Amino acid sequence: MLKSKKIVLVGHFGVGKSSLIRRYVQNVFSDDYFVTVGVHIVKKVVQVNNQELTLLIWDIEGKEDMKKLRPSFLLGTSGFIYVLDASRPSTYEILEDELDFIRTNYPKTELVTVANKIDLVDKESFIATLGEKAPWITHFSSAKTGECVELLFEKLAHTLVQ
Amino acid sequence: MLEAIRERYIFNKCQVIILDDDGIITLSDDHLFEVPNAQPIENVHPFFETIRHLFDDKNEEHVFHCIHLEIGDVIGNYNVIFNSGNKEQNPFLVLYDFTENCNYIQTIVQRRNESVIALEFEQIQAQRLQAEQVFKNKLIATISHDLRTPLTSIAGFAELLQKQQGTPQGANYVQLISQSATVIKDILDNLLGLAKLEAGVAETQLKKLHLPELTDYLEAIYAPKMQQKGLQFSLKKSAPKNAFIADTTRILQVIINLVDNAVKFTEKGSIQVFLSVLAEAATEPILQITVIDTGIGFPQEATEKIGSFQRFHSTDVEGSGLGLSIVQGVVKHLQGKLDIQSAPDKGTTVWVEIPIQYAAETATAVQTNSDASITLAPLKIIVADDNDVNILLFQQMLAEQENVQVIAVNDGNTVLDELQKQPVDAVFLDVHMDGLDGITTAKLIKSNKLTKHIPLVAFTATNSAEELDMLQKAGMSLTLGKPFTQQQLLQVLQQISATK
Ligand SMILES: Nc1nc2c(ncn2[C@@H]2O[C@H](COP(=O)(O)OP(=O)(O)O)[C@@H](O)[C@H]2O)c(=O)[nH]1
Ligand SMILES: [Mg+2]
Repeated sequence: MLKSKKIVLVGHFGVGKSSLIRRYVQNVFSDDYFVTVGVHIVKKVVQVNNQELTLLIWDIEGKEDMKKLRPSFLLGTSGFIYVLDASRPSTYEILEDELDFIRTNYPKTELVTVANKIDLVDKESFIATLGEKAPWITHFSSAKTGECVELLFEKLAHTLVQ
Repeated sequence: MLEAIRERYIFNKCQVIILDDDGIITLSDDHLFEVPNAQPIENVHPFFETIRHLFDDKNEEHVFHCIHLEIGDVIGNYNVIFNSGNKEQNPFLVLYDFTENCNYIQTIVQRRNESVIALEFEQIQAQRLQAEQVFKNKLIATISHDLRTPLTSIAGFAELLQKQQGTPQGANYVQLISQSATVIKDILDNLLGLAKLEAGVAETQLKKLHLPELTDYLEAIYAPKMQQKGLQFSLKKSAPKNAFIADTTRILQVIINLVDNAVKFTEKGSIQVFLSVLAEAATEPILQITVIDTGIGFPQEATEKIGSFQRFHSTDVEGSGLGLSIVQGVVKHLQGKLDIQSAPDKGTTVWVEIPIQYAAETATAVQTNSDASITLAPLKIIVADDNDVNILLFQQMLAEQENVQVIAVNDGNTVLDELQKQPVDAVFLDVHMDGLDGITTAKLIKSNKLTKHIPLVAFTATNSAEELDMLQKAGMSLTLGKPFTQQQLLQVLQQISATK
């Protein structure tokens, strides 16, 4: 049987969660912002180590606070992608708390953190202003240019089969 | 009747799907959308695939709110209840149609989110502008003001002394004063040009780069400072014989900032400076600057922070001073590289590499403009400045000009009094004076029928276009910038005497 894994994108509203998914699954991007209400689920089959793996990607409504999310949305999640917006400091002000919350409540779930919209900022000075938060962020992506998007999902897919 | 209402308002909004333990659809009322019988539920939509694992634990019920499903032609948002069943009861799903609510909520949330994001951007913009403003104001105000005033006297007196042909040491000393005045002035100009540099529009000024001259100069200005602080100072250079050109002023600015910084943060030990030009055939020559101190240093994270500074105003590494960020900006402008190694209490090493050029072989003739070429008609002028040093300098620079009579005063009111007493050919007005300031005085002179023809010269340290424009509007058609040289003063007087 085909293996499948649930991946959930979390993070504030407007950081580009839906855009990242759209870039990854359909390879398209739009500058228009359309707020996601509720949950949209798409699937994408990837090859990992010559095996097919189905990613069931959950795009949920953005919230400023992880604790406000309905737990049923996160049930059975294999991997989280925490998305922040490099151009808006409010989206990573409490990054550490948010990541701690995930690690504590979902200890067995993989977690990657991505700074999206990297096309809007100077990467080096962005990292410099992050200070201590910087090591938590492992990916720098742009749904607009496509930079690092595929890599982000595919690296996560690899860690999920291990 | 009741059934009909139910049918229309309740059943129509709700669908029940019965499954078996393997997730195969056994029954559905298809009120919302059609599902194929005897098929695995996950074939209907990927959402159901994500709840397959919930079948294993019996007697569980989960509610999923506002799930977006597109099934056939039907697109909607549903609250989905999943019950995993038990021995008596098959697993089942109940879906409630909340599409209308969700669409309504969508419009509200859309508006809210957009305005929250817009507000944040406004705040970011405002903060940035403010930080820039504060930084620039502070920088420009302090530096231009504090430096220009003493400069006026240093540069002027040095020039005078040089002419008086003193002892050899005297001459040497004078040359140093003069040189450092020029350098400070250049640095000042550069600082004011930092905004341009940031915007990438700063022009590059190529001059001769001669390491021995550079090191002599550095030796002269730093050796006494180091001695005073009890620091060992070593200055080494190495360069091939070729002649080089580079933006020497900015390079000097880099070195001075680095050494100043080293001195500032080093209480004991030594400061070493190495300057070397690497010139190998086929590649462009490179100037390497290395400054090593044994000072307090700072943590490595901080150096990373400095290393990645993009904007000069983002200096916020404690203990690095303004100097390093200026260096950063200038090095970037010169397309050079910068690297810092530092450890707390051990010291700091800074490496800078700047690409330079070979000089073309032709010697550049130095333009000499002899004072003798300037002849003046007899002039009577008033100079008003509340700084006596400036007045003294002004008078001494004109001491040899027998044709020029100078009336020196300290404020605007006295200027007006003097004008009542006698006709004059020009008035030099310091802009910022205690009492009646230069601008008001100018306006009063220009509004008086008897005096409005008199040329007014703004005697000012400003070089802001706005302020210069304001001076023009107040009636000061000429300017003499501070610091000024004898040459510049004579040129202004010549203009006045030509229009007389
Ligand atoms: N410049 C830029 N804009 C992006 C990027 N990703 C998303 N956006 C824009 O940001 C807005 C919010 O994106 P969206 O995907 O709806 O964010 P979500 O609320 O996290 O799902 C939209 O206007 C997108 O066009 C990116 O990488 N670069
Ligand atoms: Mg979204």
